[in-house]
Amino acid sequence: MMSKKVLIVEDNELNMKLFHDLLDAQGYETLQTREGLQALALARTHRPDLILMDIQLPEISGLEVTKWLKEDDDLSHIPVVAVTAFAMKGDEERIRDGGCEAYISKPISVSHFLDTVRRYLG
Amino acid sequence: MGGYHPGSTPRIRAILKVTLPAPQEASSAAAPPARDAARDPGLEAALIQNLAWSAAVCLTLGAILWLIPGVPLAVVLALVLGAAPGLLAQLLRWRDREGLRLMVIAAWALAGAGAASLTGGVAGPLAAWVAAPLACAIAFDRRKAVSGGAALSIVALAVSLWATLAAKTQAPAAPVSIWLGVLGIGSVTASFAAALTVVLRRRADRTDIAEASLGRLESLLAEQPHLIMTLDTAGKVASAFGAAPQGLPPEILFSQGLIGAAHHPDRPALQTAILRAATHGEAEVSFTPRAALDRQAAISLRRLDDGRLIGVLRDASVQHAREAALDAARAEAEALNAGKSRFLANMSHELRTPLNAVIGFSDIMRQRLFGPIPDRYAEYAQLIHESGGHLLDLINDVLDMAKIEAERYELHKEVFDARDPVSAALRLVRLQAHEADIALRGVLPTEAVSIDADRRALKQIVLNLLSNALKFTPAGGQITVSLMAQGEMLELVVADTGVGLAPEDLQRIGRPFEQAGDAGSRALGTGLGLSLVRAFAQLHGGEMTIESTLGEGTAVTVRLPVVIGSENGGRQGAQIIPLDARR
Repeated sequence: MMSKKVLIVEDNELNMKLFHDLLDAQGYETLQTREGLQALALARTHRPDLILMDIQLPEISGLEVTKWLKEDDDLSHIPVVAVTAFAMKGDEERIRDGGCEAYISKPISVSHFLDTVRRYLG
Repeated sequence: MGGYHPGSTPRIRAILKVTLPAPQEASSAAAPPARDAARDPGLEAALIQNLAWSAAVCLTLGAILWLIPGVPLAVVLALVLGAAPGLLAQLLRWRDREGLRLMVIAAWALAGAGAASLTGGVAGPLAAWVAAPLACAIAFDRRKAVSGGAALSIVALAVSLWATLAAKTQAPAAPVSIWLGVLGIGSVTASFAAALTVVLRRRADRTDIAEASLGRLESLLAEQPHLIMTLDTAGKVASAFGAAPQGLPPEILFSQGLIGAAHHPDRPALQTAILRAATHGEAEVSFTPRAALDRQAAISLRRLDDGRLIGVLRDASVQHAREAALDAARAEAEALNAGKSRFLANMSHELRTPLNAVIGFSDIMRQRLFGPIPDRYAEYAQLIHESGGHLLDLINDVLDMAKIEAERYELHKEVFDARDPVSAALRLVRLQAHEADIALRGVLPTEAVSIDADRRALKQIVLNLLSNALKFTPAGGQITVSLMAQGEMLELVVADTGVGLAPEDLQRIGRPFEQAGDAGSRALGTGLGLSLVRAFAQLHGGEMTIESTLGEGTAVTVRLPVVIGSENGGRQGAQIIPLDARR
């Protein structure tokens, strides 16, 4: 059986490494990008089972990328979990309204992070 | 004199009535009492006239008795009568009463009628004396006295006429008759002349005084620093007094009206103010004069009884500039404050991103997620993780405060049991309290307390108060958290037996970034804890109060009007037991 693929969209190197190491240790395959636009292309090519989406990206908002993903009939079924350092009231709704399936706030709790990921990867 | 007039005479009386309602009061307060005989020149003249009359009568009597033998008793009696009222009048020198004056006039009537009747009545030589009461009354210069005097003169005339017609009296013989005739005509004529002179002079004096005070008022109006004007509801100026502000000379006001003298953009506001003054009685407005666009004028308008308006126009340029400067300063301060809050919000975000790596990697290590590591390394990872968590709390505080200050914090109200966040907070600090050897007590209601509030905010309130209490309470101390509902008010008290606060610190505390004590004695923290508690309480429409005694402890009380139903409270309400029944 093929291992599950997770696309990580994250502009911070350390956070990228953290997420990758955690997922890798769980036996998941990861795809990584720091750019929102590239995320769309990667999703089309590799059809990941889950996308971890940083909301605050340098050029384009992760919410915007999520919107495009959800508008694409081929990609809309892929669950998107937002990961963001925004922790304001209302952010969670905003993120859910933007089409994300779940929301993890930074800094993460490792166990909570893994629980959430597992929920969407089965 | 000092006013600006649009051609014709100014309607100054209306102005005087409105702007100076008290000149009469002022003058009557300043003038000596009118009843003081010695200081009333009119009365003094009347008394001299009375005395002169009596003296003339006495002299005549003496002369007749000395020069003419066998003067009839009736003539002597008549002259004595004629001398009496003038002497009686001198009583007014000591007591000037209206009644006494009337008595004097009545005495003159009696004397005139008596003397005339004793000396041949209307045909006799002293017939003229019936006019004595009128002459005296005119000398007193009182309208009422004059009409009374005239009436008494007519009565005296009637009595004399009756005496003549009834042949009760006879004129004395020729030499006496001549003396008396001269005396009668002379005294009455002189009296009238004197009385009228006095009265006319007084009238003239009064007119002079009135004109002088009118002049003073006009010069007052002309010299006061504002421009006082009367105008109609169309803004047409009828008269103006005083100093005109720059750009609003009276000529322009008269020719173009108040509205025409204003800068175009300000005219509607001026128009509105005039209408408001006409309907509501008063209005104020500022505007820029058309002839001086760098100036600012202000006018206060009031409605007069006759429907016209009176306006006080003054230069408001300095005041206007000051207000504009204040507005600008306030806007700048607000912008700075908003900038500060935005900065803090951004900073918090930037700080959280690296913290994610600190907390995340240390979390992996302390859990030995990827395989075994020595215990000591795991302990270090644990310490890194805890410190990261502490740092995160501080950043969250800063972020919350920044949001509250930027007025961007929105309460997310939901209905829940108030005991839940309180017990959760107690659980969170229990271990810490145990390690610090501090007894932690929670006094919570046994029944659910339903409240409509922001759950996170309430938990934050309890946690912040608890963490403060833990910081400032030494080992062996005690912290008590009690929660109760009173009506719609939820009351949370966190009391400790800690170091307490000095009164001067109580003032400062609860303001952002303030901590009690000097730098050395301060515990770790941003000083935001209590500010946040207060801000969260205020966001709920509640309040935070602190009671503290230095060296004994501190009790912080938070009251929030958020209770929507307390089963406990409800039952208590149904079970009120009167005090005496309990005994």
